[in-house]
Amino acid sequence: MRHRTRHLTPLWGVALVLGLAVAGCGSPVTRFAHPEVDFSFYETVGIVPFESFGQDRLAGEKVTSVFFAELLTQNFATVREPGQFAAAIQRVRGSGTTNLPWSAADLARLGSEAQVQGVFTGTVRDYEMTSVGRSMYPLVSIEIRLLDTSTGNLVWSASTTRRGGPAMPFMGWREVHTLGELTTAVCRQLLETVPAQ
Amino acid sequence: MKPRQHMRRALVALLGLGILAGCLPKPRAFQAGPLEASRRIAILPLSNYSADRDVPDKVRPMIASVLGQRPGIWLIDPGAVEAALAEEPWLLFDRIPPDLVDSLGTKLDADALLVGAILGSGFRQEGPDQVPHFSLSLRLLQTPGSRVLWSVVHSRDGDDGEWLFDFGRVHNLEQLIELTIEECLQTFPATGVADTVSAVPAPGAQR
Repeated sequence: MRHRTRHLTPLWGVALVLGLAVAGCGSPVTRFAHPEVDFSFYETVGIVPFESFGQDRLAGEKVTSVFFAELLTQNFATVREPGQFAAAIQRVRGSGTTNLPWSAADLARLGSEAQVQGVFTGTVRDYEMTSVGRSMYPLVSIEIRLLDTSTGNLVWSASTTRRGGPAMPFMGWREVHTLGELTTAVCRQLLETVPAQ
Repeated sequence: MKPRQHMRRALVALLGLGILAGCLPKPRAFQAGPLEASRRIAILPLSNYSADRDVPDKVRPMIASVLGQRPGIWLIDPGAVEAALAEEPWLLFDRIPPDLVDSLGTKLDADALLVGAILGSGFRQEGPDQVPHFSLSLRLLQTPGSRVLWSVVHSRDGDDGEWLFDFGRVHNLEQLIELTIEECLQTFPATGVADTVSAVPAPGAQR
């Protein structure tokens, strides 16, 4: 029995370390996907610049930029180039009013102007560096939605809040230091919850 | 110590270093496909979402210096780009309307425009130390048409490469910016031109 315990102890140690690592990786994602929607319908989409409720008023622009790059890498759909899409938004709404809620009628016009079937909108709730002990780590909280331009319906949404720092509390292994890196990871995590086409 | 033990320790050390090396953040890139044999590219001023007001002026020449070394890439004279922009005043350089993309392309005789934004640049507090960080997004737009040929977003922190007691840490922001740009441009699509001849062609030169 003693012999068996001696062999199990290192295994338990490894399991504990792996468990902690896995626990540090994930943050819960709140997600909704319309059960009756065929996501292959969304062949071309656009991104409305995200609004920001955080201290950093430019956070919406920063996260939108990262989300655009991440959406392209995911090959979810053809994504309208931000300049092209901004021009279409301006034709529908004029300048400076992108953050107001979108009515079904406005979305339909935007869909027609930009030739898109879906529009991503988003809210940045937190985007800042926070103190943890003597160090500063990023904190990002984002909600992203996909709206159908023909009906104005919400077809998908996902949100999460995540803090950087080490994946394991006692080592610097896999530390996320920057808001940019954390934002990329969060956008990827949220996009992974879009139902496969 | 037996040779087998030596080998085992060396393997463990190598594995450890491999894991650490694998932890470095990688740029997230999209490529529409390989570029044509050669490309004339105009680098536009970058939008700046960081608190450092001067950083776009530092970053643009750094991008030019790395991109200009790539075979088959011809960079358009920055003076000509500024002159074209002076005729078409526009502030949001990472969100350019398609008609402006087309008109700049025609004026500069460019095949593509490189646009982007600095998402963050500066220092963060790590205990008593100031650690630099830098975050960048870039996009290559075809002219005419604004088709996205390449897109990348990348963020680096001075501590990313640190593996033990300050070894591997980058202390200098300029050095970190250079590193970030090099890593971003490693994902730039190939042109199919083998030689490293990338000077700006003379006016009227055959393309």
